[in-house]
Amino acid sequence: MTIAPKAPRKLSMKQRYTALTRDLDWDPSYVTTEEMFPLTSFEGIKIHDWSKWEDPFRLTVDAYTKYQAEKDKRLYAVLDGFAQSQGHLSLTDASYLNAMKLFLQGVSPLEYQAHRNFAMLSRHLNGPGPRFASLCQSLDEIRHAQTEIHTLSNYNKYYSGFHSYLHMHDRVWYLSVPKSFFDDALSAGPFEFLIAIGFSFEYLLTNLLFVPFMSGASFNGDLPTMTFGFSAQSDESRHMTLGLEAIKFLLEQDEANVPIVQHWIDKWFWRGYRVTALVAQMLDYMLPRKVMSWREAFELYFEQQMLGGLFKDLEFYGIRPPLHVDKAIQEKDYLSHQAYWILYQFSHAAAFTTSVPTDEHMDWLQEQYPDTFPVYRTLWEKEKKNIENGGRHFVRGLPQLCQVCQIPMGFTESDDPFVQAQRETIFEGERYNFCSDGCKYIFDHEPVKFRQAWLPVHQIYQGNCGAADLPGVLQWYGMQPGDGGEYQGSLDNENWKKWHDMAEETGGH
Amino acid sequence: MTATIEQTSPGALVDTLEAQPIVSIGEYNFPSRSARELYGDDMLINVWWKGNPWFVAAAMFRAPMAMPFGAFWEALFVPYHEEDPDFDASKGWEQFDWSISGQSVTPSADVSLTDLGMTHKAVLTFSSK
Amino acid sequence: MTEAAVEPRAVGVDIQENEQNRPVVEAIEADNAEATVRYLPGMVRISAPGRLVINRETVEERMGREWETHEFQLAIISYFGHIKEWDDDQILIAWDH
Repeated sequence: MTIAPKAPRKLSMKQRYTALTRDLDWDPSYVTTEEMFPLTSFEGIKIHDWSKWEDPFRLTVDAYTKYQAEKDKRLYAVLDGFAQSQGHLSLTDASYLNAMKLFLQGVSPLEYQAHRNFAMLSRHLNGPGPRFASLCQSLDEIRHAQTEIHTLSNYNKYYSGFHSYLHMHDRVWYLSVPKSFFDDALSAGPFEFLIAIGFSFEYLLTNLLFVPFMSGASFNGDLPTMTFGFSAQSDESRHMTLGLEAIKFLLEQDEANVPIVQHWIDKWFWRGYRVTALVAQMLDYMLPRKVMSWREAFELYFEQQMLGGLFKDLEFYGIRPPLHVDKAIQEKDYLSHQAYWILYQFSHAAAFTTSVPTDEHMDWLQEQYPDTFPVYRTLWEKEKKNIENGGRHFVRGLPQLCQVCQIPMGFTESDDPFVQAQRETIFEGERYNFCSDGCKYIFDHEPVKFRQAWLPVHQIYQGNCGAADLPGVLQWYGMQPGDGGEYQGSLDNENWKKWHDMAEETGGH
Repeated sequence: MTATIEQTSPGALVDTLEAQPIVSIGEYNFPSRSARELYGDDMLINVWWKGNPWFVAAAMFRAPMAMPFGAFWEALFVPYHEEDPDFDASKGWEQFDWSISGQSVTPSADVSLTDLGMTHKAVLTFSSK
Repeated sequence: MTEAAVEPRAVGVDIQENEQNRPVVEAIEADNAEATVRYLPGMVRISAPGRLVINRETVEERMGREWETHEFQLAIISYFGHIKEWDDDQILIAWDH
């Protein structure tokens, strides 16, 4: 243990915390409070007493930096050991890394964005308690961005798709899904951001994002990612605390806040839930060794823990569960299949690979989804025949995108798994398309915001993405040969076989 | 530049949503990044094979507003959809029922997409008979 | 909630399973008579009805060295319940409503 022995304290932890955070606050005398904090009235949220914000962790900067440094030392020791021992060779299969390519391209840049916005909150919230909590979260989030990048950098030496994640995050069609989600939050006001990210993302949906990736890592030999997960989890418990405190604080400060907060919960549950489609397909299709099905994860981490636990607590304040949650529940048997079917037929334009599930994998899917997988099995069987005849299902064009979630509109009506949901709004003479009632609801409340969406397909057709043809667009995306397409016979697959000295066997999936 | 669309036209652009309250700091009124005017004499069209799950989502094409349906069929529709091994282009568009916004339409080689009833980002729906 | 005596909702904490945290787990077990301890891959889940307390002194006794409550940051994976108190000597997790 590298912690220095404790020096005798003159003040108790509570007193130190108060002295070093809240007592550093002051009332302005050269400017008005409104001039000093110009962002906290326009959303209609009423705060009467900022001192009521509770910060149970009572961290001061000295304790914060001491323990964060210790966590980093432990993590980097593991990263070094894994790299030095050629640990990547003990992954279950190279195809597992498609999950982590998606993570690095899609999630790590969001950590950086969260860092920026919490830094903004650490200046613009009136109360010293939430300002300091936001500062710690801002530091945590840049730590997460950096440690994720470092954790995954080792794989960049040996596998494709890890090389230009920031460049891709800003340009590539499937990455506009997480990017626009966070841009939506960044361009909202400080209180909406707190409910969107602090509460809805970091509390309500966090386990649906985090646990699948980290457990997937642990089950598939990805020691660095698993260790990163453990290392970040204690930061996450602070984030969950901040998120829960944010919502309770707003609800307790004034009754007028309740309907505003309720609407944000309605919007951001659905907005975040659509992003988790990427996690659903990862859990059910991208892991050679399975952890649990999306359906199981959704039932445990959302239905039981959130609907059954948290929202019972929030009833006290007059908050009900989010709108469209019934659709999310209905979709739990379909979401992963539809999401992977999207990625499968467009992975020639992606920086990850896909492949037809093995028979064994399909049997597992059948077991997990006895009522709904048979429909998708027929599609996979058709594709297998197609491949035998020299084909490979890659779409020769571009899909219809949802104006809000920006995902190709592959989600289906509740009563028919063969019929994609089509919703629309015509606003000021222009038509907008949506994948669901949930996304339409969001647009209809903020049409002037969401009509600004930079939709990859629409932008390609305007000529804003480098070229009019696919190779030109892929070059603009920053993709390289080997990054995308079919996994079997890919660069990663061939290398994997070579490194494991398997001349004839397939690399598995 | 845009043709006048009658209110009874299938893909008609009659507003379904009125202006919503804006909560912002300062003036907030930004144009659509997908507005029709950004596409010259063309428009974006969604083409949806309803009931065929092979294509996970409807296709979106950029096409001239005045493009004859026959040209659309040959230049855009067939090359995209013939990737489905079960699609037989030689049976022509008559093998499908066509509609726009729930209203049945009857394509013919010389009718333009606009005259058929298509507008920017509308959905041309077709299903196997 | 219509019954007079209601079973309090569980609170709890998930702790990383390693040698350094073993005395922390033992200390919590010792100080919380109604706690249940479950071992899952890589972690220890401790839950108790209504409240769970972590006492610095009990941890120090088992650890054989000085320990400050801030050090719990290195052990915790996640928790459920409300952190009602965190000072030099004690961490208390309970529920608000």
